[in-house]
Amino acid sequence: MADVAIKRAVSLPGAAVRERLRTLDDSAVVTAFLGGEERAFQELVERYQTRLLNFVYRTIGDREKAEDLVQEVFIRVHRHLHRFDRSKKFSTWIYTIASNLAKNELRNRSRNPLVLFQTIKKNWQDEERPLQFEDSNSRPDDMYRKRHLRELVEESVERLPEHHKQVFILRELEGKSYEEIAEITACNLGTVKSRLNRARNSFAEIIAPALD
Amino acid sequence: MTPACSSSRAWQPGSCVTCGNPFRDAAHPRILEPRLHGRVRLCGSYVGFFSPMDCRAFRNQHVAYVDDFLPGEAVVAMQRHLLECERCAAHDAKIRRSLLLFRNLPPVETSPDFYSRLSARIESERAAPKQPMFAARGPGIGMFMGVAASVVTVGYLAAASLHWTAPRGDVVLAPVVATEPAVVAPSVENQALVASVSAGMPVWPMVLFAEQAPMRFAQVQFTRASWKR
Repeated sequence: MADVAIKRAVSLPGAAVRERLRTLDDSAVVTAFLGGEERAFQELVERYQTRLLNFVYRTIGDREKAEDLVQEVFIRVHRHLHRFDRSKKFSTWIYTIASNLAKNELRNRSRNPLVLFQTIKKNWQDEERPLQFEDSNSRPDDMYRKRHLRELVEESVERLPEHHKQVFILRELEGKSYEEIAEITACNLGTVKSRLNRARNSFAEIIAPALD
Repeated sequence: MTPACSSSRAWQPGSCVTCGNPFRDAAHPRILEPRLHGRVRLCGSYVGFFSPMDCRAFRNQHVAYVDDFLPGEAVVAMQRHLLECERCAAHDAKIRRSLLLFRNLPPVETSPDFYSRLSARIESERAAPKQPMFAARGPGIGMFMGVAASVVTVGYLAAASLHWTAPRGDVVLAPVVATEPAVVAPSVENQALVASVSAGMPVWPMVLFAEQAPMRFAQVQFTRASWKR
């Protein structure tokens, strides 16, 4: 069934191909790409770019660097897709690549104080920037409160230990199952549950005083 | 042992499984789970969940409880514990509240030129000539082994050219005629000097001479004494 859909997608031109690819699942899109359909890669990028960006951004806390890393993820996917074991889930594979890159980035950052300084400087510039009103109907105090709350949540996530943070984000933001998280982070199921429990407790403890 | 049912009323769909009050009751906000409808009953074969749960068991199962992975009976036991234990109820509320905040963070969007930049990078990678594996990855194990083998070979050749590897023969000396050395009779002065040095005393008492000195030396001493006389 999927093969028929892929053949149809390949034989159709332009927008019709994109429409057809949109109806396929990840595995079928990967098959189409390996069959020579270049637009299948664009479809994969469209499906995962925002999710990966959020995952990497919440993990490392730097928006620009996160986008660079997501680009790197897709380049590696493009380069090594022929080696992907199609009996497994594509999303798990791509998240594993992103997770490893984010971990490397955090490791490099801990060794290089300059990067830390750049992150602090970026945040300071954000503070200096005037408030941006996304919704003209919102009141300024509401906007300020929301922004303050967002920053509070982001800072609280930042304070979690790295291995807790990844499990926490994969579960709470990306909605991954315990089994998928275990595969992405190369841990066993018990460790994932334990880390998730600790991460939730720590996060609640950190943010609770600010909410009261 | 089957614990007694706390209520004599038959369970009615749409009511709380513990007190029988209707769902949506403000006093029981945690028992509004729709999945309980028609599945959980107070009486009959579902009485097992009435066994009391302690706080440790509650905390251990809390991850699965928040994620909705517990079976129906365990869910009811957790809910019952929440009604009974204020501390655990506060803990549950704190966790859920913080998770709600985190899950509602606004998503970050990629920049508009994300795909065009990505395409450009992929194209430039395609256009670049493929480099040999060792250049792309740096020195690997194969390269290391090759270098090590060449170093060993060069070292062996150098050692062979300088004859370092030739086996060492036994030292051969010219034949000599062995003769027995003539025995020189010890002089009296020499023996006396040796005796005085080892004892640290300029003159040995006669008794020590008699006990410790070799018999030959003693004889020499006696001879000397007789000469002086």
